[in-house]
Amino acid sequence: MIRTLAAVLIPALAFSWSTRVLAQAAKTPEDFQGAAANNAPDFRVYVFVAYGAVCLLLFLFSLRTISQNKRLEERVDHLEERFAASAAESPPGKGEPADSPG
Amino acid sequence: MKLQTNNLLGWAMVIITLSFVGFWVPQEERQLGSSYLIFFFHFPSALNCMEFFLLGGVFSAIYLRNKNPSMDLWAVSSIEVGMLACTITLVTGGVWARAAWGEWDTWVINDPRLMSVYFMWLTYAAYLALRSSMGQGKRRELYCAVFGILASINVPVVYYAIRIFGKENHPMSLTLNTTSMKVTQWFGWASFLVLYIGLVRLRRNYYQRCRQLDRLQEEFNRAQI
Repeated sequence: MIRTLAAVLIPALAFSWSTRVLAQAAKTPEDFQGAAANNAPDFRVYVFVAYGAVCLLLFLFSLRTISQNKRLEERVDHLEERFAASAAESPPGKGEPADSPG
Repeated sequence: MKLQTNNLLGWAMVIITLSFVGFWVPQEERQLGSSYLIFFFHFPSALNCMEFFLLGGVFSAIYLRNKNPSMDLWAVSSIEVGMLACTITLVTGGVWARAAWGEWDTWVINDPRLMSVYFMWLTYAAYLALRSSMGQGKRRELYCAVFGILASINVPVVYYAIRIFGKENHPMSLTLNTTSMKVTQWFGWASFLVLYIGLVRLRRNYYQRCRQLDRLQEEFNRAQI
């Protein structure tokens, strides 16, 4: 099923993409400027939506990193405590690697 | 500067930039109409992404010279934040292109600047993929440092793409007429720079902790606790 879908979709997408690329390549900078001059609606809404999205992305990235940092810090502290406690409890020599002759 | 102060200052400056855009700069430009407003986020992201990629290259070079693992952490943190800025540049650029040229993505053949930025994004995505595909150790640090230096060669090509290849849908630079526009442009750049420096420091702390945790776990395994 997925293979059939892929067999139909991939050539169709490739065809539509290449047609668009060729159409774009045929355009000159003047065409683009002309298109811009002909329809100049108010884009402020889009601009501020884009601004909001950028700020949200940066904010989420910061939050994610801060929470990852906090989780790691807790794990490091926990391991250090366990390490220190077991080193204090165990008799000398028990903390050595298992394969050491001593 | 403390990390928290760094981040708070960055966010405060971004909010000031937003208020400049909303209330100070003219809401229409003669040729581009209101779509030019996106420039005040697009330009800082574009310039900062190039700076952080270059910085990643510099840290990688220092790592190769000194073999100091801390430099490797700074390099990957800079590159990650550079990737974030580059993604923002591509997305805001797409929105602007749709408004100004009527197309979302003219990067394929028509515009050397956009094509080279896309190439740069893919190169650094490959850097991050390479890094995550290798286990921790000197080998990974070495490979990533070499890749980081090679990838940073593309950064000046992106900057000078229009002068080198000469086909210009995308302007080499945009001339802003009023003082408010100029101030907002450079204040926006500075605010994102401060914010991104804070993010790089955050990421660096995260990687430092990861390394610390790995070392502790190794010690644990050795002691068989």
